[in-house]
Amino acid sequence: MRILLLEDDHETRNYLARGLKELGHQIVVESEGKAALSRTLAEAFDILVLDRMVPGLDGLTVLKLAREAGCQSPAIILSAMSGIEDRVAGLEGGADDYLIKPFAFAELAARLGALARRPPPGSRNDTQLVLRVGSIEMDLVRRTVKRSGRLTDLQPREFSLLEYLLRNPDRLVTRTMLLDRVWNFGFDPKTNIVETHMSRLRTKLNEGGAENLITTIRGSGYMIVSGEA
Amino acid sequence: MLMPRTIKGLSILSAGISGLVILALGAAAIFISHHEIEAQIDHRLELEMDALLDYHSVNGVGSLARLVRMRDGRATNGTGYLADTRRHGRLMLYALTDAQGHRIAGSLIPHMPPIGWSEFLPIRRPDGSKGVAQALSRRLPDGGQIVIAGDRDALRRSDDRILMAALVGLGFILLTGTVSTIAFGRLVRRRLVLISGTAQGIIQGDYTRRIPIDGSGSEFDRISVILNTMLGRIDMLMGSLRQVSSDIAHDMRTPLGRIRQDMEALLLSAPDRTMTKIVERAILDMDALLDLFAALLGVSEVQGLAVRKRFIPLPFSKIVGEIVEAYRPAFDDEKRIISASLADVEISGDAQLIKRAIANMLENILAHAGEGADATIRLAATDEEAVLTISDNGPGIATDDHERIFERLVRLDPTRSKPGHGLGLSMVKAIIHAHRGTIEIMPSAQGLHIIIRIPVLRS
Repeated sequence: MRILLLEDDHETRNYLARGLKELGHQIVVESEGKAALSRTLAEAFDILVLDRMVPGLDGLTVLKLAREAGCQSPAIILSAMSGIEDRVAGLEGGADDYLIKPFAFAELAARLGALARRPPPGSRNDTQLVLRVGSIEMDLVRRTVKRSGRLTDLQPREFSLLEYLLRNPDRLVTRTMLLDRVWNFGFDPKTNIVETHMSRLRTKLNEGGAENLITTIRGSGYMIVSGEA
Repeated sequence: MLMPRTIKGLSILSAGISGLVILALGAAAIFISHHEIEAQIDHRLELEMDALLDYHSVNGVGSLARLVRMRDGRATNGTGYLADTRRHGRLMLYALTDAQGHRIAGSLIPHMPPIGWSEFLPIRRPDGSKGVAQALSRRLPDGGQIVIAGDRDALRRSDDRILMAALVGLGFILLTGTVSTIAFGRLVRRRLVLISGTAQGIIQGDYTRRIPIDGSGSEFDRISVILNTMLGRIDMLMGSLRQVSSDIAHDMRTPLGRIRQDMEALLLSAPDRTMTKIVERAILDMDALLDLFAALLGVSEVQGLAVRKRFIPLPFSKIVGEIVEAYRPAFDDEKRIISASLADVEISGDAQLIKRAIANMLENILAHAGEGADATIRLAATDEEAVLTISDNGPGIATDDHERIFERLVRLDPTRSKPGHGLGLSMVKAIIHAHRGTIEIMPSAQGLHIIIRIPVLRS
């Protein structure tokens, strides 16, 4: 993927750029808002990663102006501003995600992956009716799930959880991403409600001794593995 | 001392006092003028008497009788305010008797008074009406008696006029008092409505509101200018607080972010398991620190009420249900029961904040209600409010602590060793207040019962 990274802090910029390069992405870095805006207008990027507090134009303004100019690339705002209103302003300003600094690199990488996977609105992928990973098959119309052809009865939230995992196969999905996307929690609860739901989902999917497809990545999140043996 | 506290009370008091003063002035004027006129009449009678007695001593009783008859029958005398040309032009009446008491002259005084002054002598007037007079009577040297009487009608008329003036004055005072009270009340109310409207706006979290000034330079304008200066200062302080918060956020989070990056890098190249554990713990601790910091700022942010700008109609019961379901597995895992009965009700609010508040209380039950304690969530609705009761059957908390637990950083665990930073319930309270609701702990012998009331949304 071709990623524009706007970040004024030298060390953070290098760290993120190096990490993203290692993941196989092509990175264009900018440290100043106006330059980043010209770049977005002149070149095509798969994803914009914009720090909010940078010299010149701030990241949010860069995004607003880019959106007004017709830029549709998914964007993630990085910000040290952790207020409730800051987050809302970020999402309302056209960002697809808002990540509060400091964050684990794995978190950013996972979110970038999910954003890149997200089909553009109105495209053919958006109307996908069946999701399939390994022997798991989800019918989005009837809202049913089959494991190796056998119907599995899921609670609504377990269904949404599995749906999100299935939409991001072989990709790390972090706990906070699930809280954001599946539960729409804009905060981090102290109880691990993701883990408690995940263990129920696993139990139901693995009923009858089927192989576990959802692996836990310790300290980071979960991944659904498509390469079933 | 009972001082009136309302404009109405003050106006009534002021009009009452003015009225009393007018009445007192009127009474004094009547009293003084009454005495003055009485003295004038007496003086006039004395002068007349002296003149008539002189005339008698020179010309004898016959001539005096003629003179008296002449005067008694004519519309003369009385000058200035003693004159009464309007009615019958008469003030002075005369009577003359001989030594045997036979009337020689003067017919308008029916009965001869005793010698000396008489204050209220009955008289007849030429037009036939009856009256009372001030009279002076003297014995003539030949044994006869002469009486000169001044009609008291002038006194009565003067009293009446002053009384009338006083009553008109009183009426005028009451009328202007009433009108000015109403006008003043309206003026004050109009300005107070502007001030309270601004205050309401600010309470709602709109710190940019200012009290309108009409440029009249009135007291209200002056106080409004002062209040606006104060509001400007509050706004400035809030602004600089926000600025400081975000500056701290930036200046603290940036280096912490670098440390975190370094530690993450370190984690990848950690030589052994011990090192890995140490670094992992350091990262966790730093995240907890950032979490505490964000929570502190979050409580202040919600208390600032700016979140109200984003309030929308919310299906309260649905949101509560979602949170209960989110936590049900966590309760199940500990063999604890969470049950909910939810009436359908809508409120105006922010879904994420409401979720956060309810999640927080459920987590408190999980963490602090003790082993095996169950949770019961009940949402009821009246015409005015949604009543959410969150109960557990754990040990509960001491009544003395009921208020305290909503304060920042208060933890009932004296060792402060349990997880958490003591900001949860203060955040819950701030959120409920932002939703114009109340939160309280119901006194109970068993368990902890938190009652939240939030106004319902009217369709």
